[in-house]
Parts: sequence; C-alpha cells; structure tokens
Amino acid sequence: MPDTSPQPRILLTKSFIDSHDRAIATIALALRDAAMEVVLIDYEQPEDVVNVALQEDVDVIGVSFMSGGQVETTQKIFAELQRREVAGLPVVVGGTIRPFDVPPLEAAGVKAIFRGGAPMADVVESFRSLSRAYRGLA
Amino acid sequence: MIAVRETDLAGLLDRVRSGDSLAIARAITAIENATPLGADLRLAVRGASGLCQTLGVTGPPGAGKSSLVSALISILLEQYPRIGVLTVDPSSPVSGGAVLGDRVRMAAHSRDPNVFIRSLAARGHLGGVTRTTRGVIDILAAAGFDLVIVETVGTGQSEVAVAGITDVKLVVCPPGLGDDMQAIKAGVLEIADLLVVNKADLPDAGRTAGYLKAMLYHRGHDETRAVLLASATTGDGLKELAEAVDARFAALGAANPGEAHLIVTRDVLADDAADLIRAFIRHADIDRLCGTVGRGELTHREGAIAAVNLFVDSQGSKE
Amino acid sequence: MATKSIEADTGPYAKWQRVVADRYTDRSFVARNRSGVEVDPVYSGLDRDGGEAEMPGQYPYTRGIYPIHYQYQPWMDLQIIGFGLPSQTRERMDLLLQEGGSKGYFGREAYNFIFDMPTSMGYDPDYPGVRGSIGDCGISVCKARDYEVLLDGKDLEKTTVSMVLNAGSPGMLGLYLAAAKRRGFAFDKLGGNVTNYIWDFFGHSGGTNFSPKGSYRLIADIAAYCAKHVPLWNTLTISEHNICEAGATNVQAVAYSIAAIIAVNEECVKLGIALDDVVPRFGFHVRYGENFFEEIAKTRALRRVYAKVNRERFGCKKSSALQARIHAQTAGSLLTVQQPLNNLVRNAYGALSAILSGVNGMTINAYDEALGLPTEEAVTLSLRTSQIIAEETGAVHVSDPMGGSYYVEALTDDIERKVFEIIADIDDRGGLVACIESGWIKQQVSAAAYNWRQEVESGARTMVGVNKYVTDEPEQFKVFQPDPEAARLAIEDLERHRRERDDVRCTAALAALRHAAERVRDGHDIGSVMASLVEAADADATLGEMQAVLHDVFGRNK
Repeated sequence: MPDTSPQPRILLTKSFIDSHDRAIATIALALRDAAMEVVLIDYEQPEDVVNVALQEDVDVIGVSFMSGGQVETTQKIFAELQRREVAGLPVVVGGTIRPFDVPPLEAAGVKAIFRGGAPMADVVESFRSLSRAYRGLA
Repeated sequence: MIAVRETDLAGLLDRVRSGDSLAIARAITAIENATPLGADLRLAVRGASGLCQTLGVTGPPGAGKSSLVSALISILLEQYPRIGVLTVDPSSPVSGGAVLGDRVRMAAHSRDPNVFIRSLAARGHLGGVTRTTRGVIDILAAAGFDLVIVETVGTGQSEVAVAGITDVKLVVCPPGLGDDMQAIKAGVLEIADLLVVNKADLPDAGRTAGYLKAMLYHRGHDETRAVLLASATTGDGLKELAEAVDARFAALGAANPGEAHLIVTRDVLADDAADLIRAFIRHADIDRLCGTVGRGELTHREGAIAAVNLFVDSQGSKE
Repeated sequence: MATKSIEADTGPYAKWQRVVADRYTDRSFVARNRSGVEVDPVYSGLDRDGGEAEMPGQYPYTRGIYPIHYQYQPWMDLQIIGFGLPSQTRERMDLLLQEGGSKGYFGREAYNFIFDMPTSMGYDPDYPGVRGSIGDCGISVCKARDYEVLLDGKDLEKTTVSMVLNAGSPGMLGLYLAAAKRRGFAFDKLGGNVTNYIWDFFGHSGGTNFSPKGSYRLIADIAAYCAKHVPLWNTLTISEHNICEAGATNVQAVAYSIAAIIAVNEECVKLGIALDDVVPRFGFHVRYGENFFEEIAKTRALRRVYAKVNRERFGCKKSSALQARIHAQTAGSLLTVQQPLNNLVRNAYGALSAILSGVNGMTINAYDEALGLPTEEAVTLSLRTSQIIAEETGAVHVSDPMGGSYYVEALTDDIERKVFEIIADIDDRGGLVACIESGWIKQQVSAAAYNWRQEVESGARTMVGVNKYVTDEPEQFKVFQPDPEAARLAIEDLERHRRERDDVRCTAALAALRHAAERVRDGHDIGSVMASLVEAADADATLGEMQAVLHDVFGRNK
C-alpha cells in the first residue's frame, strides 16, 4: 500500500518556438510504457520549467534542444532550481548537443546528455534511476 | 526545505496552509501515492473543499477542454484570486504509466503564482481517482484556493464520476454531429449543469448547439441547464460562459445555504472510514492478526472483521 | 533510336512526340552510354513487348510533369543556408556561389534560406525567452533592411529566393517584397517561394502557429495577392517532408499532404478565388529517406493523386494546376551522430532516389547536421553529391527511368490506393481541420514514430553505426560554432532600428494591417493582408510586430 514503488513522475519540455517534437514525443511514450507518469509542456521562459516541475512534484526534468538555446536555457533552469530551494532536482538534456555545449552543461550540473541514436533502453533506465535516487529509493 | 519523503504532518500542513507551492505539490503526491502521511493529510483537510467553489469540466477528446479552461482561468481570476486546476488523464492499462499533456494548452499560466495546475493520472482503479481527486481538492482548498477546476476526458465512467464530485459540471462539446456526439450521449450529458459548444468559430457550431438543446428538451431536463457557444481561439462567448458558471455557483449557494459546498455522500464517508482503518492498519495489534490469517486460522473475511473490531475497541479506549 | 510500332497517332507516344517537337523544336535529347549505345530520353512499353501507356508530361503525371526533364533543365540545387546575422550568412552565400552552387533555372542564382527558430515562428530577437536561439540554427531576420544586407548587390529579377519558415511566413514575405520595392524591382519579375508552414499538423508548437482556420484564410490571402501582383512567386509549399520527419509513414505523409491541399482549395473556393489562378503556385516539399524504391513510388503516386484530386474533385483545368512541383530534401532524421561520415552515403542514396523520381529542386543535407550547424566543408560535399549525380552518373539521361518496373509500378498503385483510403477517412472525420483539432493526426503520427523507434531498438530496423556495426572509439569531428555574439548584435541592431524609424508612419501602417486582417478574416478584400504586410514592412515595422497583429486577428493554434 505505501510508496514502495510509486510511479516516477517526469517533466519533459522543449521551447515553445521549437517545432521539433518527434524525439520528446517518442521518449514520452517510452517512459509511459516503462510505467512512468510524464508531464509535457512547452516553456516560454526557463523559469516556467521550474515552476511547473514544482507544481507537478516531478523527480526528473528532461529538456530537449533541437534548435538552439542549449547552454543559456539550462543555466537559467539551474539558477531557478536554486532560488526555489529544489537544487537537488535532477536535470537531463537531449537533442542536438554539440561538443562545445558539453563543458558548460556539465558545469551547470546536468546529470545526463542524450544525443540522437542513444539507445532508448539507456534513456529509460537513466530516468528511472535518477527518479529513484531523488526519492531516496536507490 | 521540504524533504522529498516528508513525514512531518504538522509542518507540511502549515506550509500548505501558507500557500507554499512545493508543500502543496508534495502533499498531493502523498495523497496520490496513499502513503501513511497522505492518509493523515486526507483526514486533516477533509471537508476543506467546502471553503472553495469547484467546477468540473469534461467532454470528449478533441473538444478543446484544456484551451477553454486556460481561457476561462484568465477571466475567472478577476473574481477568484487564486485558482487551482486538476487535469485528470487515463493511465495506460498495459504499463500503468501515463502521458499527461493537457498543460501544453495552458502555457499562458505557467508562471502565474495565483494559478496552480496539477496533472493527475487515473492510475487504473475505478473509484481510486475519484477518491484521490477529492483529497487533492481538499488540499487546494486548505491552501486557500478560491476555485478548483477539475478537467477530465468525458468518455469513461470513472472520468464522469470524477467530474461528478464538483459543484458545477460543465460539459464541452466540439461542433459536429459525428462520432463525438455519440460519446456525449452515453452518459456525460446527464451530469451537465452547463453545456458549451467550443470552437464556435467553426461551421456546425450553431447546429450542434441547437441539437443539444433539442436533446435536453426531449429528455425533459429543466430549463436551468444552458447551452452556450464559445471559442477559446477567438475569445467569443467566454465572458458569457464565465458569467453562467458564476450564476450556477450563486444558485447552488441560495438553494442550500450554509452547506452549499459540503459534499457528504456515502462515497465520502466510505472513503474516510477506509482511511481510518488504513491508518490503523499500522497498529501493532494488526500484525498479530495478520499472522493468524497467514496461518489459515482465520479467513480473510474473518480477519477483516476482526481488524474493524480492533479499530472500534481502540477508539473506545481513547475516550 | 529503336523504331517503335505505334498504335495510332492519337496514342500517348505520338502525343508525347508532338509536344516534344513543339516545345523543344530541333533539339535532340539522345545521349550515349559508355558502350556508345544511344539512350532515348524516355522508354515505355513500346520499347519491349508492352503496349502504349502514359508518357512523361501527360495526365495524371505519374511519370513526371515534363515530357523532357533533366535532359533539358537540371534540378535546382537549393542547399539550405542561414545562420547568425544576415551579414554572416551572406559570406556563406558567396562561398557557395564560388563553388558552383546556388544555381537556379536558366542562369538565375537561387538561395534557400533557413531562419532561426524565433524568426521562423515570427518573433523578434528581443522577445522574452528566445535569446538563446538567436542565429543558432538559421538567420535572424526581422526587418526589411536585413534583406538589403543579405542580398546586397544582387539582381533580384535574376535571383530565386526560397524562404523556409513556419508561422512567420506571411510577415517574412512582406519584408522581402518591401526590400525589393525599396530597391526598385518590379514585383512581376520576382521569383521564389515562401513555405508558409503556418498551421500545425501536430499541435507541437505551443500556440506559435495560427489556428487551422486562420491559417487557411491567410494562405488564401497570400495566394490571391501574389496571383495578381507577384505572379512568379510560389506561395505555398506543402511539406510532406516535415510530416515524414515527425515520424509518419510515406503513405500517411502523402495522404495528409493531399488533405492539406484539399483544405486550402476548399478555402479558396469558399472565398470565390478561381483555383486555376492560384493552384499552379502551390508545390510540395518531399522527403527522401530509408526506403529507396518506396521513395520513388510515393513521388509517382503523389503526382498522380494530386492531378486526379485537382481535376476530378476541384475541376481545375490548367495543366499547371494539375502538375505537382516537388522540392526534394534528404532525410534529416536519418543522420546519425555515430560515424557521421556514413551520412554522406545516406544522403547520396536519398538524393539519387529523388532524382530517379523526377523532382524540380533538391536539398541534400550536410553530413554533419546531426552534430550541429553544417560546416563549410560539409555544405560543399552536399553540393558535390548533387553534381556527381547530375554530371557523372548518367541518371539524368532518361525521364522516369523506373517507369515500367514491375516493382515500382505495383508499389505506386498500392500507395495511390492507400492514400485515397486515408483521404476518404479524413473526409468522413469532417476534414483535415477537424482531424488536426481532435488530435487524431498527431496520434497517428506519434504512433508511427514510436513504431519506427521500437524497430530500431529491437534491431529489426538496421541503422549502420547505431545498432549494428558499432565502433567504440569516439570520433572527433569539427563542429560549426555559431557566433555567440549574434544575439547581442541582433538585439542591438533591432533597438537601433526602432529608435531611428518613423514611429508615426510605422504605427499607422500596423493599424492599417489590423484593419485589413479583420476584413479578410470576415471574408472581404482577400489579398489585402499581404498588401498591408508589404506596406508595414516598408514602414519599418518588424516581423514580430506584424505577427502580433496577425496572431490577434487570426488566432493561435491552441
């Protein structure tokens, strides 16, 4: 009865101006089929992501970047997590992540980076283990 | 800070009552997951929904419910300073997971501190989601929200039941008289206080409204039900819709002053009783009882009755 | 040339011969292969033991829209170009031209501009929240002056400008035409296209695109305006490519593309626009991906279905209203981060399937696009791929070389049948707008995308270097890094523009735009929105300011 295995809750998001949603839609279905609850939003400002993550009480935030904004948006999300006192909430990013994006993304604190062709099983497992760790179930 | 697996009921309740987003969110999770803390929370805030107005919004897929709710929020905020929204979506019957996408259409309120939106997955069990939703409405009411809107897909029985626990029920229909209308006929119409034909900018909207009016008339529904036209895209008819919702709330208050919003039904009592028993199940005496059931000395039914008796005894000894 | 036994001089072959003789007078299109054997410009059943059948350039255009195709006029190479500020993109344009690219038809220069996401959606660089994307995956353009930089010194009457973008399309055409007007070019000499992807099949752009209903009204307005004032301008590109890239199957993508044409045509008919005036300027953007023969068959089926629908359902009479013009693009979603040089090979096969299908324009992706924006080297290699197919392989000597193949003909018929089934289903569901609004299209496409992904995961579908023939060693590739200063410079430039412009004139022009938009929304003065966009752009209104008015009046996709 109690929360021995509550469904992981995941927020998947992309910018409102980015029309590329195949990756994020596919990952949402894969996470659903792995028994997770996935909230989807398009953010206008990076701060929206954190506000929604708080209201939805998610365990992991996944941000998709197909058309720019990788570093700037991610840094702003981390700053807002800090400000809203949920600095421990894990963030992963995916999409077009270029070599020069990686150092600043890692410095900001992203837990995982997924590029095109990453095996879906790895992506799903990463969300699952980050969720469990965040809930103290690891 | 609030721990991810918070256990301090009093501390969490204080922060919920102060309107702290994270505390509200964590309290909702505890109720959804039926944790021990969640059970305590449910009982602590039981009945709080009497403090706020509740509006159920349902209708077939593609009716544009989320866009309409989003547009309505903007208008209703003038009258209800803080609005909570629950969007309920089905869980996958295969995996138990869910994709909760209704918020995509409510992006206008993504950073408004006076709007709190939460996506709930139905998690399969009929009745479970109704129970959870009641508890969550209580939490939002305790947190000081003036209006709670519950959006569900009006196709299945459980979704209709969820809408049924709200004070005023709004059924959203898309224009057109095809398959969607069949879905509406099958029960959803029966619960409606208000019917709105959304996407009124599309052809067929007027015809659909006429059809709905005729259908209600033939079924002998009273005239207080209204059929309205609105468009979340153009904004037409939204003000009138908000006024109609308000008028329904006012009518409810006048018809049953004092207890206008307090929903005391058999279901609620049964839920609360179950919660009390569930909380008690953690008691040490129960462990011994479990042993006897496990060894086959008592049947499950006998064990359950014994558990209820133990609970009743424990209540007597408190007094 | 072999002597063919022709049934009668009214048969398809005789008709074809007469058209070729009329249109191309004395030119011979006979080529020679390596063995010195003469190769005819087209083959048919007559060349073996079959009977006469449809010839290229004949209704319903299965075999192509021209009787003689590449033998007379090669495809237009339209490498995608655009990043950073207009001045930075201009440098890349000059390089491409120097390498023999940017060739339009009949000696024209041609450019295929792609814009950054804010521009593509119609937002100015200073719109809150978009800063990180400025100049990142395309050019940042928001005012008429930007085109004066981008196309400085170009003779616009001899330049074909293709503009690939979403909701920002109407305003973008306004900016371009205003720039052309300032430089004194006559609108009736300007050639090019705007994609006009202003609606949203999948609801995936969070309200940045127009409501389906508003979209079709705007498309009709632009079509009507251009038919009168910019007659050489291609006003709408239906993107089969984008539907496929979102994960749809080839059959679904062709069917939804035709359904979009049906919706646009119906809108035009409703507004009293003669279809024969506007339909010839509609075209398609088609994806060439993983199934070599299916790509060819789908193109042939697309042309046939398009011709039949426009003639039989809408009564179009002009042959140009029955001929599907196709801009081909290789599949971006097949490009892999792993072993990126493999993408060169994938792109070459995709391009070859497009050429064998008979297309009008071609974009071959850069092999490094999965890694980031293309490098100069990668863009040049894409161009070389096209040049090798055109000038080395001999694939261009014969029109519809796959025609008559048992396999390809059967596949073509099969796709046509399935496409008509889906169109009937969409009709039953109340038409395309209803299917978009109910989320049905999105569900269909997401399910197909998920299937595809699961095939890759299970290994049922091979992706070389990804799920088979995987190598361990990480490869270091040069990745293009856009100018990190672009955002700051674009915003400063915009602020300067706003300070220096005539605000009174600009405000009046935006008010006039709103008035025109309201009239058009209510079904009057079709064409006046586009006219007002040109005026507003000429009065220095920005893309974002014009877009705000259009969004207000025509509604967003919600």
